[in-house]
Amino acid sequence: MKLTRTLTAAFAAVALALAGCSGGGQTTEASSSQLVLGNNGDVLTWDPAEMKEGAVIHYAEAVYDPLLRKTPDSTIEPNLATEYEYNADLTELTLKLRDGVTFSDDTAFDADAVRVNLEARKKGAGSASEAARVIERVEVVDKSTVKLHLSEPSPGLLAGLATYLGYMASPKALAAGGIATTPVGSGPYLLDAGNSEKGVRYTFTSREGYWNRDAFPFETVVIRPYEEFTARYNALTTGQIQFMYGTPDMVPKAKTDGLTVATVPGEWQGIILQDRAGKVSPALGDVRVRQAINHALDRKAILDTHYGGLGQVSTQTFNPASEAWVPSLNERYPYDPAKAKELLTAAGYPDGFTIKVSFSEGFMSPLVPIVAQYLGDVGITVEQVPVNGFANGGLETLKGQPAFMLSFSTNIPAWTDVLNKLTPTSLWNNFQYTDATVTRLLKEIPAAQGDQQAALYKELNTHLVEQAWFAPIVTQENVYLSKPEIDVTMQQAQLMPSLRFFAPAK
Amino acid sequence: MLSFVTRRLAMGLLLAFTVVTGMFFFLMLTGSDPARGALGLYATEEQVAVKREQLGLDRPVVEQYLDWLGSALRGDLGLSSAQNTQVMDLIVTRLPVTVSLALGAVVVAAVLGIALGLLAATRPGTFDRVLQVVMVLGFSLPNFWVAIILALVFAVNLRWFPATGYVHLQDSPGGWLLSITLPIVALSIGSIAAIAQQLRNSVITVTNQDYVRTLRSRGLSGRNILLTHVLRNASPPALTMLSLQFIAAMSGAAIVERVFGLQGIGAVAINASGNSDIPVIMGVLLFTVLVVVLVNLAVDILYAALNPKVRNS
Repeated sequence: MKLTRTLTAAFAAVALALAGCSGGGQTTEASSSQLVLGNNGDVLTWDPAEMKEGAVIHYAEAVYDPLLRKTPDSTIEPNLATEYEYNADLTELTLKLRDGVTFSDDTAFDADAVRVNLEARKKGAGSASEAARVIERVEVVDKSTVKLHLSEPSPGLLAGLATYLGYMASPKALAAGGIATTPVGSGPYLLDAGNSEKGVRYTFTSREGYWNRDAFPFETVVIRPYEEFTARYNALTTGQIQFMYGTPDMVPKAKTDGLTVATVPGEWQGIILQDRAGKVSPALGDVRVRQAINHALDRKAILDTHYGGLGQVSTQTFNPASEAWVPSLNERYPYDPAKAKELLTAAGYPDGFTIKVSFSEGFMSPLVPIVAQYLGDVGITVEQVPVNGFANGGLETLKGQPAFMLSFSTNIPAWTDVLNKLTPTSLWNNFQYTDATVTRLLKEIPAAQGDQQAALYKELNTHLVEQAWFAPIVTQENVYLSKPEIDVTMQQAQLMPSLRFFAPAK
Repeated sequence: MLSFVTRRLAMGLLLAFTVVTGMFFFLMLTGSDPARGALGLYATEEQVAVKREQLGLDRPVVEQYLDWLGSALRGDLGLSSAQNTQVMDLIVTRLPVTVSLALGAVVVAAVLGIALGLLAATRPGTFDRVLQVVMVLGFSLPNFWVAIILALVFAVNLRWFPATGYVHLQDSPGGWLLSITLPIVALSIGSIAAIAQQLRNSVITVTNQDYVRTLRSRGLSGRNILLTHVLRNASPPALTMLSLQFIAAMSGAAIVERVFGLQGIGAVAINASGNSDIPVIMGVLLFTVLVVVLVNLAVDILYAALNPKVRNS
């Protein structure tokens, strides 16, 4: 006993001594003038043309300023472009540019800089390239005006200009190369390379003379990448970071740990029934079979048990805050195994059938057996095809699968979702399926605006749900955890709220 | 002794060559696509084709391998296909983290494992039985689970250690020690148990041999016999176990690093694997194999020093 006490005391003494000489075991980096963010991953490139959507947006926003920007409800408003206007047939977009803005290498921001950036974005392979595709030509009207000539109207263009497509990098730096390793933007902060370590921490210091300083109240921003949720959560509770993207299961503990919990409707999870023509799985070619699959899922039970109630049951694949959302559609497929069997029988499958369902291994793995069980109950046997990483051959595997399960982003405007999943060239429509109604609506929506456009989006969504192109289960809530010393305004339809929505707590 | 070391070194290098060669061709056969990994899902087929050409993936596999090997022998491991970093820079900055953990874990395991093994062997009865249970328990606990528990108790609740992050030794020796203590404990618990168990059994076996009885009958002290004669003959199996534990620690570090948010070679390997970043995967593999070969060589030399017969085997 005596030995134990001695050892404990010695251990404590050594720990305290070490803590003393290192400034404490818990060095809290945060202060009222410093914001420390935990991020989901590392920034692999600083070239906006190669950046991928997602959590990397915080790195980008620190150093680059976009032409337009999004409000918390994802409405578009001016930023580096002070005015923007379409012509009558929505094929020309004129942007008036802010005067007196410079890049961090003292190059002036002007119309030519916009042209160089947009042309570079078109050539890249990042998220911006999709939105840039419609830009045929960038015309420099004068020093402060550019006109974007479009191949066709594009409802997603303004949102693109508010993020990766619109991030302005110094044209001088773009021409010299090296933008991938050294960011040179016109944004609110400068990357402090001396206080940064690749993959460990990135320190950004306030840039003198930035035109919109009040919107970014912190003198310093530090971003620390953590791949692992446990590490990120521990860093948050011990004050090493002030904000993180969390998971639903963290919510109860986060509340007892005194953290601020915020949620925003995020991704939908469920099944893409992509073989709608029945090329590989003939049964899927019958709408009644696809509807049966929708009836077979007890969404409420799955929401309560698998998602801990954080989210809402959904038959739709659009964002709840988007113009396409129709609340009543969620009543379209109540859990009804008898109805599902009836539909299967009517379609000629009284004994059910077998279907291959691929899924991304890891975070989807726990959901797949649940879905397989529900489908099994109505006679549909699910043959599970795990996909281990898209870069490791997964994307190729997925292309041949009649159906697959994933977690899919939902966006504002809904056009981004259209481009992702509904056109014959969409990445997630590998069988290139379409029908007359969808073809018509995809032509009419870009040419319309305002209420008329919203009505067309709703018509499209209703048609997709009725035709059961998908079997969504829930729209889950994205979870964000933060320390009480900061205020974060949540943003609809963006994985991470923009940097300017962070402020010291009032 | 020199020829023994030369022989072992040559065998080690041959092993390293075989492993990296095998791994290179294996990676090429898995269907991984470094070009797609680098560009992401939304890149067009044309863009992927251009990247493939840039990375030299359109050449015959043997040519790619010879190119990689030739460069590696000159100390150039190429550029990461997924990020704008030289593979050598990435490894040189990250390897100290993992080696600190793995070496630290093995040193801790050696000291505590030997002490506990000797105690268990020399104190039969209740003490030995209790130690046996503790050792089996220690061996069976997964190190990622231990890591999570240690982080929760000693970093999050007691705040004795930082929850995440690595402090470089040159920046703050105290901070460095604090940052690696919990990861080392997590990594070494299983090894302590394995080494202690191995040594206990060897010591008991050797203690019951005739020559020990003879030494005892000649009046030598128990401590002298144990430390000078028994331990010398009982330690080779424990040494073998130690080198195996080093390999286990190197691989276990990948998981433990993630729990403690340490950017070591394990984190690099996991990220590279997700992006099919073959240059980085190969670089990590090469360095890991070389470190393992060197540690095994050191153990072999120690083994030979303890047992001269080994040198001629």
